[in-house]
Amino acid sequence: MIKRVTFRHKWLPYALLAPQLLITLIFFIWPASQALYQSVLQQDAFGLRTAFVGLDNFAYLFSDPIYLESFDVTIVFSVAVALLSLSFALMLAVMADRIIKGATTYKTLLIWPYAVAPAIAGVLWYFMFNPAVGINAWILRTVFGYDWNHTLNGTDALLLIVIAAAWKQISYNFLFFLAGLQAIPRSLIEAAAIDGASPFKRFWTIIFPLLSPTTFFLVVVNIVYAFFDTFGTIHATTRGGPAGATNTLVYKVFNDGFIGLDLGGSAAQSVVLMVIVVTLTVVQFRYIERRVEY
Amino acid sequence: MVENRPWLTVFSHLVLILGIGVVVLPLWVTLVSSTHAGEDLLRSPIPMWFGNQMFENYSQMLSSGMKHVSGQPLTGMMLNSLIMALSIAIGKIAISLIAAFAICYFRFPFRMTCFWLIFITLMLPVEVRILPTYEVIANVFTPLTKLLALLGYEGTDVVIAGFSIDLDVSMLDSYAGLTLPLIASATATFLFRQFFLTVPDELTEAARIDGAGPMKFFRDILLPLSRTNIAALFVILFIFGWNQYLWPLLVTTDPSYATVVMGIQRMVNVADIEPQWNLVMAASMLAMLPPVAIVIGMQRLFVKGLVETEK
Amino acid sequence: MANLQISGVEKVYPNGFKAIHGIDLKVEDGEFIVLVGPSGCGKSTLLRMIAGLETVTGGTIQIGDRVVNDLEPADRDIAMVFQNYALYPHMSVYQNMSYGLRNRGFPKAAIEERVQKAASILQLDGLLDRRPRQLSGGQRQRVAMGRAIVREPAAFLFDEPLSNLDAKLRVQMRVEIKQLQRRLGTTSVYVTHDQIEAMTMADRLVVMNAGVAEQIGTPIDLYEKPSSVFVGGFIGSPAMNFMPGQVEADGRHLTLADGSRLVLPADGRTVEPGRSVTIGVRPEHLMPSSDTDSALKFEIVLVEHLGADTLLYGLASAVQGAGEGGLLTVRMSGHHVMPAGTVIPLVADPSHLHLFDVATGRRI
Ligand SMILES: Nc1ncnc2c1ncn2[C@@H]1O[C@H](COP(=O)(O)OP(=O)(O)O)[C@@H](O)[C@H]1O
Ligand SMILES: [Mg+2]
Repeated sequence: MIKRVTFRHKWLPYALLAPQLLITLIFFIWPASQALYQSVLQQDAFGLRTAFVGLDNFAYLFSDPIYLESFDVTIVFSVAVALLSLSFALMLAVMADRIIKGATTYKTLLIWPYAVAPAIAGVLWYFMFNPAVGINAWILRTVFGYDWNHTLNGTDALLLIVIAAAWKQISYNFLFFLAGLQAIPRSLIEAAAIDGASPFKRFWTIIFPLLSPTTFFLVVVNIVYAFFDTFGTIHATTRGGPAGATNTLVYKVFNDGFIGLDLGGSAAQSVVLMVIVVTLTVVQFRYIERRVEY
Repeated sequence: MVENRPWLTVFSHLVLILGIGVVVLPLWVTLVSSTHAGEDLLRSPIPMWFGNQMFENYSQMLSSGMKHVSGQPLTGMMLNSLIMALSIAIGKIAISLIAAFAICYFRFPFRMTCFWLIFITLMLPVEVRILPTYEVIANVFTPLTKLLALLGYEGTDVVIAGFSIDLDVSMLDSYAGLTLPLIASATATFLFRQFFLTVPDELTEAARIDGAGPMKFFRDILLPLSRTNIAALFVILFIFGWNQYLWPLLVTTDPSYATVVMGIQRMVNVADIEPQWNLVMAASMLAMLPPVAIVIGMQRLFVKGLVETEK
Repeated sequence: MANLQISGVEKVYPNGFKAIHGIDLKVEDGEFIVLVGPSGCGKSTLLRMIAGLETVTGGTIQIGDRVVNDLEPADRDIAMVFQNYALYPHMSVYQNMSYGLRNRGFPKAAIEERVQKAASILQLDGLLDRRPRQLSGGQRQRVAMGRAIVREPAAFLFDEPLSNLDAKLRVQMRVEIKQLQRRLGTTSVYVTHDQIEAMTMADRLVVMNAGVAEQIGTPIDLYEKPSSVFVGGFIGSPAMNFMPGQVEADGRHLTLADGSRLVLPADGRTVEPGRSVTIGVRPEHLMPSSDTDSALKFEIVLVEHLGADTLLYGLASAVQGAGEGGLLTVRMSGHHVMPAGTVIPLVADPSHLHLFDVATGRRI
């Protein structure tokens, strides 16, 4: 927590902390407390008067079918992104861990999507699946006879943003899986090989269980990513549509707050999101604590 | 390798090559499409090999932008992105370094309070406090005036010792508004704190005996020792800053403050007509180039930064 | 150059733990003092209080004629060598050695001269541009020394500076440090838990135990007249043997637990007859005897041949009273072949018997 050896100074530590604290207070703590405060208020139609309404905003929120649908969309979206990205990355990491020649080249070719902005990732896949000219849409049509159209078909739209979001996250998952695999002692795998386990069996009985801390950590990170970092992916492409099929919670809070201008409702949505982040952060930290203490 | 099974190795390479194919495909399509004329991309299937319009597309985007969507040249947007990415990366590193230094190397009242205040920011991404943060950016003194209002003082002017101070400062459409709210970072502070805790105490003691005070120790010993950590963090934060989307979207309406990542959606979401995909793809290539180049060029630092910021 | 005076110094750590219980020590100008004791006895705490790295919670510390209790480490005119050397990893050897001088605003030429001089004394001439990680353990140790001597301080403080070296280098550096200190004549306080290092280097030793100075004296003093069971057992290798005994009515003999007898030294000390005492006798002061009646019985368990000496480890019922008997060590000069199981009668050299109070452990 603190060094054994410390300096003595009356005001210096406060001066050193001031910039960070000031920014935290003005741009984090204050707005968050405002959200909490506004979430229990309601403005009249003209924005002239506000009244304390207790948990009404929340009650309204959770009885609103659009909000509940948005909740469902977010959960399906997050789980799909995490599953798709993690399984793909794990497969590549396991293969990359096996080979000796060319490992660095493969790694370089796999890590760059991390640097692509979620919004740009969205645009690239939006183009590839473009119903008229997209190469993927064309393949689906000519090879599989499927008429892809994410502007009309909600499932297609959701799939589109799942793929775009999962693609960008592959690099991250790959790197952590590879690190996790390389941390598994060779001797364990050799022992299993001597015990006659086939490579496939070795993976499921030795490697995968030993990798589970990494996997768990990545699941949480991927869910957080899908919840909060994919706004750009959606906003630059489907804009929540069609008919709310890609209207995730974060997209909705933005949309309702800025376009709909419903202060109390938007604040209540913010508070719900806050609860979700806090929960996920706590889960993540519990895990990290365990990892640090060995 | 545990045992010698050639077919397994071949299989591994095959899977990796296929996987990389999937991962690289969007880049290939983007690159190829950005070298064609607009008409080439109106027929399906679109060409999968380079066209001859590369120079035209890129120079048009860089110099004048897309005509029918307010036509901002990408040069300006990329400059804005660069300013934003650099300010965020440098700002975050600077304030996190000194904050972590204060927390690790001094004992003072409210030390733990400060620590927890910083920690809380971890749980408050922009996405969960959009509206009220926007309010603060619209007037930075909102917290102050609201607090004053609570104390019974109305208005946005404060008179102190005969000077009237206007408490109405908007940071909308400004670089300060784009960057300041993003430079408080618990992650960076924790990373440096973690690193400082591994610096041997004897080094600090030796420096004290050598006559170095706290700031001299910080500058002469701690900062040089943190060099690799700073570089690794810089890579991650630069990418973070460059790729910001929601925030620039909120606080800038003036197109001259648009960043390139945020600006591209205006070219895609055009009403009623197909976007000019060749130009959009050229813009996407330009928007991806700096962060991707940094990741590939500084791979080792990037991986270190990624792994360490997750501790 | 200066002397160092420690008066009634105490240390209570913020968590309430009292690490030093009042220590008085006067170090003469140019003297080499070694603080020795088992791990955790407070050696480092005392040294770090002298350095100014720990606050002094009681008593005073005086360097030269200044009380330094409230001075910053940098203002105390001391230099310190750490166990892990604490070299600045990002600085060259030259920068490491000159950092303290630069901070004190020394002119460039003076710094250059001092560093070069120190480097040549320590045989670091060719290494000034290297980083610490490009040096061997011994060389790092020398740089740490160099950083101390360029300052030309009033006192050197060493905290186990040789612990990180391998055995051979440790012996070599021990000689080098001692010679260097002689040559510079700088007052030095040296902390170690290694009693051989302590004995070979010290002008005077301070044997510490649980926050108190058990005994202060020259190595020979301590060896020949340990003031307590603790000092007797700590100084000397193999360790001193202890056994219970009782002064006989004549006041000139001791009876041991197994009924054997030892002759008391006839040095004028009077010990009241009938008193129970703890007897201490060093392994080299026990020898085989032909007098099988009164000699104590010793059954050899293990023999170690050191070449010049032979060490016999065995059991003697005198050591732990009745029953099996406790372990006793005997050192004989020369080479002796003795099979395990041999029982030999032993007598002690009367002039080298140490008597301690049973309850307090203090020397009688
Ligand atoms: N900062 C501290 N707070 C509390 N107790 C301490 C602290 N530093 C050392 N101690 C305790 O003081 C005693 C003496 O420590 P030290 O001087 O380091 O011993 P050593 O003789 O091995 O150098 C030990 O019991 C140690 O646990
Ligand atoms: Mg110690």
